[in-house]
Amino acid sequence: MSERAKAFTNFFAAMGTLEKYVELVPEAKEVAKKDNVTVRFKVTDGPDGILVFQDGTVQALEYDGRKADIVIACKTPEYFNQVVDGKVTPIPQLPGILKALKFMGKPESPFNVLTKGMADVLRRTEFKNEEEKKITTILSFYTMVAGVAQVGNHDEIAQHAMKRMVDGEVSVGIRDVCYATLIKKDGKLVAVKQKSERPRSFMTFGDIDTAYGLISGQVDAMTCISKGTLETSGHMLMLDNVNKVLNRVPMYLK
Amino acid sequence: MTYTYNKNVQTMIRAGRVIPSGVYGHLGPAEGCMIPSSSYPFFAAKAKGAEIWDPDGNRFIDYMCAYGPNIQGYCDPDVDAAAIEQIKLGNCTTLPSTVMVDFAEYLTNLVHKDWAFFCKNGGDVTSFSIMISRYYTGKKKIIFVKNYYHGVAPWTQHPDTPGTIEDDCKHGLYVKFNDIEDLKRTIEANKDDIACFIATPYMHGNFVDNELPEEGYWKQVRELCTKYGIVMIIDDIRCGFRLSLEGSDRYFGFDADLITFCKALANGYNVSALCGKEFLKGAASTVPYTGSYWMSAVPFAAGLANLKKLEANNACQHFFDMGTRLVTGLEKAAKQRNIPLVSSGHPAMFYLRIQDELGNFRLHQEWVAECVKRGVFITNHHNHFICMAMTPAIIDETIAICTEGMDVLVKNHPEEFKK
Repeated sequence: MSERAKAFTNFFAAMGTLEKYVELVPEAKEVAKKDNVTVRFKVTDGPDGILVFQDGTVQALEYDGRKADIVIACKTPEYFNQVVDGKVTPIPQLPGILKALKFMGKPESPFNVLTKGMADVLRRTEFKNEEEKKITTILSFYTMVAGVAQVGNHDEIAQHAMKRMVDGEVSVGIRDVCYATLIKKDGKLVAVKQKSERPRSFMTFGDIDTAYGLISGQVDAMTCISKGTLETSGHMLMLDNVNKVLNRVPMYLK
Repeated sequence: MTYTYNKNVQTMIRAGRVIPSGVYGHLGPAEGCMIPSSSYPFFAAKAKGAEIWDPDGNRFIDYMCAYGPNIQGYCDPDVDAAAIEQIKLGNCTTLPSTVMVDFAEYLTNLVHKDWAFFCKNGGDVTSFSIMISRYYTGKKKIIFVKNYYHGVAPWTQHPDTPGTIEDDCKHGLYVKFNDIEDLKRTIEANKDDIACFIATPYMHGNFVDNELPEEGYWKQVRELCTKYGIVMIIDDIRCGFRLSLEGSDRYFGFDADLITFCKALANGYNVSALCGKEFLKGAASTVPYTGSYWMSAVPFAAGLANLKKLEANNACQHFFDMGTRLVTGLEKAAKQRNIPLVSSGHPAMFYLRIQDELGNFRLHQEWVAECVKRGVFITNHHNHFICMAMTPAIIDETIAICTEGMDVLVKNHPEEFKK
């Protein structure tokens, strides 16, 4: 496993799912509303990205030159991964350190509440009701799709499959629930949390139960294809290569 | 009235409990050639001639021919009779039957090679051809033609294939088909370490329009392989005995060092063959390679009867004629409906695709699904096969069914096919 690929996956797939977490969970949205703040994670030889908290929304973006309120510099991807895993405490740069202490300095700080809350939702395996299962599944879905893009771009083995993909859009979705798009262009993959308008291939989970079962590894894709609960169509070579990348995603999202 | 598949689905659910993927490999719906899977049967209940019937009682004219082995027609009486006679004499025995020698003599004479080595599947013989080449030359690298398929052994795969490791793939070189300059560059850059060049006689890869060799391509490849001491391997597993009974190298006017046969060799009885030139016979004798059932006599008897019958009936002319009749009929019907149907490859192994703006094949997949649900078994992105049991009447019935499928497609997407 590549620490660098894990760092990109941790930022853009795991932290990136905060965007949907605050959309779907009202309590999370309330927490996010507490501060309008931009946090930059500047990882040497790894992702350089910003999390933008604005009026209860979150966006994970590549660093675009804007001024960040808090800057967390990590000397290596491995160090960043340890930060994400909670094994080391991030040290913010001096300008903005007060904001950092307030926003992410304690367990009850907004950032930590949000990341822990989302991790709990993603990891839960028992559900009080269908709504809980739905939210866990949707968040897992977006994490998985974003993970495909990052692992495809940065894992050396997955890059073979990514490079063989033809240019175009792959539509991935849970029928009538949520959709995302993987875009292959200019030799790399990008994940977008929107439905594709010009897809070349399609992978659609028939319902929440199918999506949850497949993403959690409880059911196999073949059975679902045979039962018609997982539909694949369009440019099948694209999907074949997406699946080969997808095979490597779980090791990065443990 | 279109088909339903309740018993197929129930059987697949049972299969999924006890068999990985339910139906694994190229006969299964996960391979991407049966889209949507809900339009396809999963199992056969019986087969005869050019037709199969599924557990729901649906009848299909089968243009996949078991992905190639069905060349006479299913349950061919002459091939089956030869097999049954051999069963009475013995099949898997301590000493091989003399029918193995009969078969080797007949086959080598037919395909103009000096020796034959028998295994069971295509992948057995492609792998053996690589081992022989490496042993004979003392070199490691393999030149592949992009979009190739030579089985699923690790040496044929990429590092991202589950079950394959990077080391399995590090001796592969990849060139474009019909691009002699690409081949020259590749040889020049690696000339001290190339064991072999392996290719199918024409590019009949899945998911891509099939491509016949350009004038002079094979002659130049042959010259380069000879000049640089590269063993030239033709994988004739899919094309073998459909273009020419003498081997597809002969059909395209050259002489391979090694040639592999499987699918159509024995009309469904399990035998594959690697045939080669004299200078590689010592290497083939030396490289250790064997299997429990590789000398079973029944497939040899079946293969012998099969080849003799193909020869007696001018089979390749029949394949060409029936394939041409079918493709011409489909193209005519498509043109009348303003459907941009593209056919490619050899008529005996035609490949079809409906052109679409986004390049996502959905219109093609939809049309194919309508054909399947009406009794013509074709697949989305694989070449098809003609067999001896396909008569003009069966071809014309196919055209009628596929035309009905086109009408459904046009009705569902009138905007796509405006004149």
